[in-house]
Amino acid sequence: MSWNYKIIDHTADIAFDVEADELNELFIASAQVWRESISDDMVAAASEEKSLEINEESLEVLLVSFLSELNYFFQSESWIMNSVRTIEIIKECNEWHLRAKVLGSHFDRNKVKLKAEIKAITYHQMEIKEQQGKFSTRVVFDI
Amino acid sequence: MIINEIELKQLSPNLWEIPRTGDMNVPGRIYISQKMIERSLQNDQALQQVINVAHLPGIQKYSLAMPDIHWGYGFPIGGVAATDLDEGVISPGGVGYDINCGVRLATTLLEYDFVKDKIESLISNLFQNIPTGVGAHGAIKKLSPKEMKQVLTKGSVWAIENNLGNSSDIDFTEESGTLKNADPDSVSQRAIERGVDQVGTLGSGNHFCEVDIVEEIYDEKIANVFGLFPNQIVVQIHTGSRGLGYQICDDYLKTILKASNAYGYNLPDKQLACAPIKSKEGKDYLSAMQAAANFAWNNRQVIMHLAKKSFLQTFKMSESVLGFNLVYDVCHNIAKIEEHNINDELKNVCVHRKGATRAFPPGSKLIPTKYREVGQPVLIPGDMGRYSFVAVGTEKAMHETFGSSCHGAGRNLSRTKAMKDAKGRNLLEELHKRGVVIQASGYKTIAEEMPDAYKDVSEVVNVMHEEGITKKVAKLRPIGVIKG
Repeated sequence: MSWNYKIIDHTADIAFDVEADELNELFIASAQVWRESISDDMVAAASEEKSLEINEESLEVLLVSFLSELNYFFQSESWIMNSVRTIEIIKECNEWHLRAKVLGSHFDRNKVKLKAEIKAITYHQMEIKEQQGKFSTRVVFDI
Repeated sequence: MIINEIELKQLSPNLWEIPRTGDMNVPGRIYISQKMIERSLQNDQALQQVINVAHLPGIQKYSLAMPDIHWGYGFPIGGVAATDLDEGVISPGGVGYDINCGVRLATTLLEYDFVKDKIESLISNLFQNIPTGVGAHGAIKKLSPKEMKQVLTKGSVWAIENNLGNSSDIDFTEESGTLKNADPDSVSQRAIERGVDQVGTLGSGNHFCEVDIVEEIYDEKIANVFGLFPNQIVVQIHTGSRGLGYQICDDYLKTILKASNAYGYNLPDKQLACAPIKSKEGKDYLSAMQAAANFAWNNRQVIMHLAKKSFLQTFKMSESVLGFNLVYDVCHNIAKIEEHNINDELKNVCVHRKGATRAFPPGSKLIPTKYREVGQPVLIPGDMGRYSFVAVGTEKAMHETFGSSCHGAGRNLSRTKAMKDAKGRNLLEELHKRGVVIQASGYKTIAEEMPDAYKDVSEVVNVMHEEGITKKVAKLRPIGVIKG
């Protein structure tokens, strides 16, 4: 498994370039950057698993939807994803399908130091490319 | 002048035109000084975005940008575009994620000398009463689904009905704090869940509640009409529709991206995704956006009530002595149906303002009777160390910019650079030396939001003033601020 990311200097928001050997690793890496943007704290509470099933017409919308789902759990359930346990991305009938299991936990907002409020995952400059055996894209979070 | 291979024709000292070429439906027009062009316009894609917006179906007259122009998602920040109702489109990117992010200004009868020894106590009370920061919640009780529906329909009126303000506050809010065609049923359950606990909260980032002193008056007559006097203590509140608005934008960007493809729009930027205003997608977005706008007005109304409560707590005086009074509330991320003169014909158009403020002239029936002789107050906040401005709308704005003006300064440094710059500095001490008391949810916020991280708002305001789009009325200097 191999992926890396680079935070881009952006005047207003959080932007990063991410690269991975496999498409599903690109999604895992992006989720990891999302996680690190929210908080450096590891949450001590018991881990729970959530299953995600998302279908979209394009890979970019799929990635935005995936990260938006994590953001939604965080914003409205005070549930923070800590790691992606499994993730499968396939194309069928001109549609992209994502199935993932993510591990995370509920957290107390008064006990965890939160770094940023990510309003939304944007489509800004997002273009998932495959070149020379690597997948890459830029991701920008509106904060 | 050529910037990033784009031709800019100078029409007046601070007005530049990008001639219509290729598939542009209209020319681009940017209000900006030459100095600002040379300093910052080549650094990002904002000019290209003005050109991109000019491709929108049904766009009228010009694709406009105010002098606080900078790179946004699809539309530039500072962008204004009006589209024909029958043949034109509505674009969520032309409103932004923070639907009805806006500013409200309230005055008091207090002067600086009276409050100066109690600023810290006042700021502390504001910080206690108004939830700020990431995930801020719990200012008032969590709303039931029925109550949420009422907030989304009624806007500020909900707050008034729940004793969180005076009925006269409605008159001094843009659109009277309620857009009438809002439809809560077009708002997703997710958006409701994100907003239900956030009424009366400030949020984080560049949102704030700030106590200012009226430092300079430029137009005494208009200042008097607005209720402003020298050394007066006033309050600015800057926030928007919180998680509800962000989710609505998210939901509808997805829907409208699909619709944009289905309608065969070939736009230069995916984030300009749009749908005909009269289509189901367009109508649904408009009514959901209006619901978010109502939520934001209600939010600022509740926060103002909490700010007033903080003043009364600190100074232990009666309401009549405090004289806490709303001057005006403006939105700067919105799309509204307004009547404008297009080629000598009055017609309704959909005006998108993304990081731009309505600036209606004297005589407009859409501004409070009290202000009709002078024009609409235009509130332009700066950073927390320098100044903000109150200006007034003009007939020229109505004629040239669909009655629109700038909204603020825009950032100068990224958050990362600001954090780096802040290392080794004692920002609290620096702000204290400028006479500003700050309370924030963390030092990181103070570093990211420090004055150096922002451009100088006076440059932006002066461009609008020199072009006669809005005229300066007063300058406000911060003396205390709370941030998330």
